[in-house]
Amino acid sequence: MVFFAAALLVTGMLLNQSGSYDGAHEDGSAGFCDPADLLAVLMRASVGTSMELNTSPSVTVTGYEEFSEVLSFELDEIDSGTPVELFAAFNDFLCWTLSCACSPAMEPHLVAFREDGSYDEPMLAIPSAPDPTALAFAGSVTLPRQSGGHYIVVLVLDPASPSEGGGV
Amino acid sequence: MSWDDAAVGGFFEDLTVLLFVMVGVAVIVSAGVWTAHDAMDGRVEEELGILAEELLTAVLREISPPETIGHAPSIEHITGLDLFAVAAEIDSDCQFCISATEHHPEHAWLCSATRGLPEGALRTAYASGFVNALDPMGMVAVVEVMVLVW
Repeated sequence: MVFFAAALLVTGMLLNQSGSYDGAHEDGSAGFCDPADLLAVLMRASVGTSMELNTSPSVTVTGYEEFSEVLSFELDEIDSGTPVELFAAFNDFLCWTLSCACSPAMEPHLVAFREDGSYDEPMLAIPSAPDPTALAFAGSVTLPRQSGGHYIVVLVLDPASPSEGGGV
Repeated sequence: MSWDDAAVGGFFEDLTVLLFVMVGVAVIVSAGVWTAHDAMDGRVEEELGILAEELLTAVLREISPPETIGHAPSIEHITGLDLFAVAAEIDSDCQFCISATEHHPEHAWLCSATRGLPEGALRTAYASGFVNALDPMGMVAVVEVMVLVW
């Protein structure tokens, strides 16, 4: 009986080791792109299409401007009290571009904060704030703020709610 | 003439003990084999993952060499890459599929290279990375390089 108990104990330890080895290699990120890499490359990319923002006065974005330039401008405007709805055309386009670039199994969320502000209240969340309890992958870049300092832009890839229309 | 009842009974009592011992040994051996098999699988997958990352890094370095940081390569440069030569520098025997796709502002397949057939492959590894490139219109594009090895 003692021998049998010892055998069961050793077996349990071996199987536990086996399980922990597998677990160490399953971080869930395999096969998905690095959000920081994607965000940095996207921010340096051209918008690609011209659009008019309904700000006062209205602003025309050319296709040659970088996403980072337009997003910096938008965040400066929001910082000075301009409603975020006036940038809906650009935000929708940015969200659609992100969906196309990342895995179809992921839903991208772009969230912007003031560097010196509260992280509980984002200035901008496209298309919506991510679920804070979901297992997600995130990366960030900083953009210059007109009044000094920086904005922190975070890309969160949420595998819990994959986009339906995105992907390639 | 008398029967050796005690010895026969002792033999059958020993069989029960022997059965316990045999089952214990069998359980330990099977668990050991299972663990070794799992560990070997994990090691092979890990090596494939490293190979995929190395291939991706080599392709990205070929697209955008470190000395040209700050200058986006052209789309033509990417379409003209010899991906087989890049892969040969890393591992001349590996089987792979490398492809580059433009996601923005256009959606276009740029180039790909495949060595071997993935049919029947039990283990694969995947890696992808993004890079900026200048399209013919002078816009900065988003290009994704995807590497699959098996």
